[in-house]
Amino acid sequence: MDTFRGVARLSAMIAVALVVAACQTTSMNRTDTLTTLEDDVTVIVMPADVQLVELTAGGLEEPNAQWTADATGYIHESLKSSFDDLGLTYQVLDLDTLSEQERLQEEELGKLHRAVGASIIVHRFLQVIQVRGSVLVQPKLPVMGDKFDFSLGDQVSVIRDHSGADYALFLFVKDQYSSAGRVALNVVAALLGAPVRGGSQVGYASLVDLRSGELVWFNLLARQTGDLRKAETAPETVAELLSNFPSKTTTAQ
Amino acid sequence: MTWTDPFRSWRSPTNVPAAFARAAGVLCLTACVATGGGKSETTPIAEGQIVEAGDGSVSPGVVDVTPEGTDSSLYVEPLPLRPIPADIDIGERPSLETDEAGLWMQMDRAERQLATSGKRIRDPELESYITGIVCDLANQYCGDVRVYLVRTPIFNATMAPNGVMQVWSGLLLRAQDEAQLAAVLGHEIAHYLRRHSIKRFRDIRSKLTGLAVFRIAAAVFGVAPVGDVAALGMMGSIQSYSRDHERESDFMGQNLMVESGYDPMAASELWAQLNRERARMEEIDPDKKSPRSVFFASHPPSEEREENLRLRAEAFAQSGVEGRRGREDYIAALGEWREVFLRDELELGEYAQSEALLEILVDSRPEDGALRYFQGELYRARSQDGDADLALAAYAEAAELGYTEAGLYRGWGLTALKNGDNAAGVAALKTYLDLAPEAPDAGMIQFMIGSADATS
Amino acid sequence: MKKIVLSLGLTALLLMAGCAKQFVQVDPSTQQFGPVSFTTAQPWNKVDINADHSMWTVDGLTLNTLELTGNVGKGKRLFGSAKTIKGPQFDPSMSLPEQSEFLLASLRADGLPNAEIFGLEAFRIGEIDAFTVYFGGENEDGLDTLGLAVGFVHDEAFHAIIYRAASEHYYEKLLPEVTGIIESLKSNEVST
Repeated sequence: MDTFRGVARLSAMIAVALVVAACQTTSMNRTDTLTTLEDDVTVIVMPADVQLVELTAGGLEEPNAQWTADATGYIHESLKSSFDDLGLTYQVLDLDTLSEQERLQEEELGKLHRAVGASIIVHRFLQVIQVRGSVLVQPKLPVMGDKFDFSLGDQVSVIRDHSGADYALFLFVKDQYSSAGRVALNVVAALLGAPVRGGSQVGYASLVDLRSGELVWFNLLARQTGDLRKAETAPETVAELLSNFPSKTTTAQ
Repeated sequence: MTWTDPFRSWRSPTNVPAAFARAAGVLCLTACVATGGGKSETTPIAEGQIVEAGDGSVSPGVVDVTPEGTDSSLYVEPLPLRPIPADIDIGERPSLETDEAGLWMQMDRAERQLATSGKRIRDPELESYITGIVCDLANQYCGDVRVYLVRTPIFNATMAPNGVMQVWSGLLLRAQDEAQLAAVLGHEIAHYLRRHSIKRFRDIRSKLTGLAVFRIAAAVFGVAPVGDVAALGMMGSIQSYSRDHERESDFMGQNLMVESGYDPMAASELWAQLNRERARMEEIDPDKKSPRSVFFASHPPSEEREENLRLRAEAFAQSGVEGRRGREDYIAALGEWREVFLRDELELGEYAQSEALLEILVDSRPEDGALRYFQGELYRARSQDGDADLALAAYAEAAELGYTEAGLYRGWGLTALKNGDNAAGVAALKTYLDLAPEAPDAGMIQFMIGSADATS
Repeated sequence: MKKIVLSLGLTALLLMAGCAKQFVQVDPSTQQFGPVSFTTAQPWNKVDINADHSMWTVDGLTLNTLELTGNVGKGKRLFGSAKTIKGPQFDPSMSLPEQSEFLLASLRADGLPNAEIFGLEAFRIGEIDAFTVYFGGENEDGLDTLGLAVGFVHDEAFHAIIYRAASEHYYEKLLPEVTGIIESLKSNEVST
């Protein structure tokens, strides 16, 4: 499960990896300091970070460029129609329009966003982590409890100033599919009573208030269903990622 | 598969164009990466594995040059000299539906992370110098290879399938001239030109499938440990496959050196120096068998590489090939980074290794005061019986050789104080503060001077 | 691959034996750390790695940490756990500047490869000579990180309290608390 390898690397002292929710088959939501968006707000969509991989019979993760390119397109299409339903104008940040200085600031922001995402996932969703070689089970933070209080600081202004938007939506998805060989092996293994782990879908979406820097909404998806490879099934995943997305006070139809 | 002849006009050792042999005047504008070790194999992550964080390990698909055993069914002979064709087009990108495109996609992600990593050495001048050597070696493929200098004090370099080359600082510290560095850079470029990453990935994929089937059987029949043994056997098979690639890259890299006008003997010398470093380290501390670098664990193969590359260099020489070394250019290009790399080497705390390495470097550059200063720093850090005196002697030698950096007087003063010579200690620390009044540790050094004054 | 199997097995064993650890809440109070004590003014999450080593955080391990690591004896490394680059070993003969070199080198080996110091001062905790050091760098993911540490030797062993946080927002957020902790440090030995 190297889905969270990037997360793990975020801090040299932590080693993660066992299973987020490999046993979870439904999506999980963690929301809320905010359930509604003001009228007239604009949300800019950051370029989605998408990766589709195939799990070979031997358990090797094989990244698939074609699937990834297709899925990225489907996700943005589905997002657009979700935004239409929410009465929001759909606008994606085009990195090419940033000046070099803005690009550097955007990168810094991205790094902090990943660190914040990692903190949320590590402390709210992971079952087991290692810290300095010690195993921690359900490493929840008692002081934080269910409070949701994260910020990206003042540097969000780079996106606000560039786009004029009030919020930014970040999206990350990694999808794993079993290869035909893997599926066959799975059947044999199941018959013999020695299960082989199948595919999985892990992703998160987060909404950042560009005026305050605060993360106002975060949604984690970790399940063993979902298919981003096809135009017909991709919207279901996007809908799951956006479930409980704050609606506007008066939703335009 | 496209057949691009990296040898261009050159076909056999008996037909070497004069221009080829005398490319020495050409300014090198390219650099690539070589490997050798830290984290050994970059094998894919198996399911359910606990991934160690922050270990600097690379993603699947990165070819690393760590040599392993010698057995192989596809053994590549060092002689006769022969051109090795490139296996990839200039500017080629795999088409989207291929497994190779997937690998590239993953490495593109890794590249974005590497580009902003704290480990990356971001010095436009040094980057452009090394990229220059790489470009020269890679020739028409110059635009396909991107060099990242990585601050890790281990002898290593890597090449990813998408042309991302990592050059580790432990290699930059050990190479004694441009030609030696070019040997490693050429080796890494050869991995790219020969598409070794995707070949290796496919090999691992097919072998792991067999392994998974075996494991299920093992689990079902209650002989799990056998599954583990099978896994180890499989890894051995994968490594032997990659050893063939290493030989091929060694030879092709040496060919590229020759073509760019470098002395091909430098490749053999670099391995010889590494073998010497290991041998000397084991002499200094017999308990140190294989420290941090996997490279050192692979004793016989690195001697094989030294020998094969020497045989080939001699054959090149017989056919009239000469080449340049670029010794002073190289040291000048490293500039202040060389001292940063020496500091990082000492901070590993592997004192036997550092002592062996410094001895070799001093042998090669006896006039170099900086190296004596770092010998002093090594003894000061090791701090065993007699080390204070060794350190003081080394600092004095550094000063005699004209080394004037402030750090010299800091180390000198701290060692003198520890040795009970408060007057000399205070004098040296005052010199340090005179030379570096804005040093971030000035407050602490003032305190040391004050305490020593109070007790003397 | 063997290591993977071992890690998995070990995890399972630890879980079964009930050795696995969890974060606990530490409310504002006076805390003991080897030969010294200090006072916290806000709640923290803490997990004990072992008797001499604990990890504290407010916003999560990837955003801010306060690491207490004590009793690092001769030949031991500051952060213990095995990595490619292990970092130097402690020697009780180290002077204060050398202790700070040891700390900095350990940080460089522990995820802050280009760490540099911004300020190093001598500091007293009762009768104990200590140092404070401000440092910064980028971690391996390129996240800009700042930190502040205090270190000292007592009974031939090194002790350190090390604060590290993302430079944007999170460092500043806890800086007054961490500064307060360092200023509150007291030696447990009654001075004569």
